[in-house]
Amino acid sequence: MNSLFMIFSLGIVGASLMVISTPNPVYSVFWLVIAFVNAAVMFISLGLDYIGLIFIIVYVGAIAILFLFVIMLIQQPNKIDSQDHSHFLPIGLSVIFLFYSLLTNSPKYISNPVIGSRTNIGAIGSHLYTTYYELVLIASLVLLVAMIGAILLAKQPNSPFLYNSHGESLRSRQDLFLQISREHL
Amino acid sequence: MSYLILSIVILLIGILGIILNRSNLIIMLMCVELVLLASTILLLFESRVLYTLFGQIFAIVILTVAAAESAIGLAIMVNYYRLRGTIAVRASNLLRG
Repeated sequence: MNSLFMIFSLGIVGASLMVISTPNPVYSVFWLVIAFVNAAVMFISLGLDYIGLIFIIVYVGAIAILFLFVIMLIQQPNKIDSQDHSHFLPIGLSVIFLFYSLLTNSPKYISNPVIGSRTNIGAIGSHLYTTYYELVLIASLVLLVAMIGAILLAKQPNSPFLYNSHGESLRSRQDLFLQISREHL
Repeated sequence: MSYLILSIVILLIGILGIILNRSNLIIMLMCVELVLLASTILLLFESRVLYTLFGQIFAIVILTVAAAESAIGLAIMVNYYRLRGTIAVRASNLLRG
């Protein structure tokens, strides 16, 4: 168990180091996939089978593919960035030290309901829809806002409205209410 | 204890990637995913050790937030590329004045 944990944790750490060190973003996405698969296998070996499978489905199946699509959309000129950025290292290390001191001084845990002797997914389902139903509502709202925001951001402004100084559109539009009610005026 | 060290190391790698990366904004989003992975590992470790369920449920919420964040971030990235023609971090100087 302990050697298994060591293998998977070294895999996660090495893959995440490769994520931040490869210049090509496509390889970076692949290393991210490797890191998340390692994490999912580690969770499954811990006994958290539902979370591990959901990790593989969501991260590898959705998020990494989304990253790959956007990298293919945004095709940068194929030059490798070989500048030296080591002068950012002191500020990086100081921010890391700040986060580390925040982490070590963080407050301790809170008490929570006990799992009991059920299966993992059964316990999660029976608690997620009864005790923590607000979290389901909040998650649904977050997903709705993300969906609407992504659609609005990615919508191509192919017909830009031309506005004059009065704030009205120059393009003549048919006003049905005005046309119908014109003879009654 | 080793889980704590593992999650701290992954979190620090993510922050270091956000700071040191100067060429691509998408790698910055991937580093945010790494930070979220670190927090998920910590929550699941706590849920496993203390034999409670709140960590797993909150891991699902973090998964939702990560999906929403990557969708919004990549949409912003596409719009930014349409606006500027590049997504290099060192070229993002619109606020320099």
